[in-house]
Amino acid sequence: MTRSDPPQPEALTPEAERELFETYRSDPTERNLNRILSQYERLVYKIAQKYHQAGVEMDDLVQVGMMGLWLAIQRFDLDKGVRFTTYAYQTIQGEILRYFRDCEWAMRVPRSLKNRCLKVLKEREKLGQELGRDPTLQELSEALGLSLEETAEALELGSAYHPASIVEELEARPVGPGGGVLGSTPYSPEEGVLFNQLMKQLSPLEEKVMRMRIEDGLTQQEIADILGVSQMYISRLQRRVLEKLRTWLDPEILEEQGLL
Amino acid sequence: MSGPKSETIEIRLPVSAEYLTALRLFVSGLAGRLGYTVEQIDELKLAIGEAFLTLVSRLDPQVGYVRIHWELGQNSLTVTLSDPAGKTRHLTTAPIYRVLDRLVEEGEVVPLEEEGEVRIRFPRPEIGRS
Repeated sequence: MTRSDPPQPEALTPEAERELFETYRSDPTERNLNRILSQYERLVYKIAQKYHQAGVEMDDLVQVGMMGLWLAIQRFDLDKGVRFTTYAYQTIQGEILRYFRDCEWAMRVPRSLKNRCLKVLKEREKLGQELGRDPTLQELSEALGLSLEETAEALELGSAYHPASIVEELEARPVGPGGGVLGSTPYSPEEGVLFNQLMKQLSPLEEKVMRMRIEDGLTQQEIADILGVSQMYISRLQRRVLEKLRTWLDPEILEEQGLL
Repeated sequence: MSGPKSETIEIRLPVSAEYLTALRLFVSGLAGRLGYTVEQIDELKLAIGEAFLTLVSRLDPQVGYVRIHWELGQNSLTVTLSDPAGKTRHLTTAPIYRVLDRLVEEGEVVPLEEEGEVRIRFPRPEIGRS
């Protein structure tokens, strides 16, 4: 236990837990939110400690974990018959793992920029939920009190990261709805052949994403939701795919193969 | 900036992939001021950045620079990338543009062989219009 650990409140009975959440749902004031946060913030510290390692600030992990707790509170369904602690544990842990995925690389860049990147990513998600749509860059900048350029820089930094291990993990993951059936979109026969040839150049995951994107017409966000990753991850994957295709799609080579 | 009259901007970048990040940041800064969402800006960066890299990969660095012209119209943002030396050929047979055109949700990516240009057009966002 570290000096900054919050005190351990008394464990709630299932009835008391339900009452706490029902009060917040019917009267979503800051006061009622804080009651829930203070009841469960120690859970955040416990999980953050589990993942704390050299080179990573405990404060950063707690900050990310608190965002996970906030998300869990917003998403928790009282009627699913699951205790909040069980549900929140998964969400908080997921946020911390995503932090490592999205921002750990930034230890090579100045700490201030790393922190800004993290704040921008979190605020984007939070604002998106509040607005019910993706925020504009202006809205995001204003919410953060940053200039447009500072926000853009942080987002660009985020998009420069390539997490190889996550790719391997996702390769094995089955895709839910969508998956693409060639011919379901209006390709000409030549384009259909070309498209299939293109897909052969990609990894299974890249192919899944490109088919969902091009054939099923899903947005980056929709694909991200299906695969359980961030929209930024899909954006990065698309860029990587295009890097591969740019090399491969040389007209002379295609002509040789009879594809043009 | 989002007023009724059209405005134009022109930038020139050396024929080098090293300028991609600078270009992407420029796209973010400009599109951010025009009221695009973060995801739309991602698409703009993708389309413009990839079109730039494709041109760069087909150009001799001796050509000098890639010209990027931006037209901020009332209803759309049009970005035209071209090689002023006119040495870029086979634009319309570069399938990467077909892939790009399908990838962008709201805009279009059109290679124009006659003009030796790639034209990218995106509608102006509803939120950002005044």
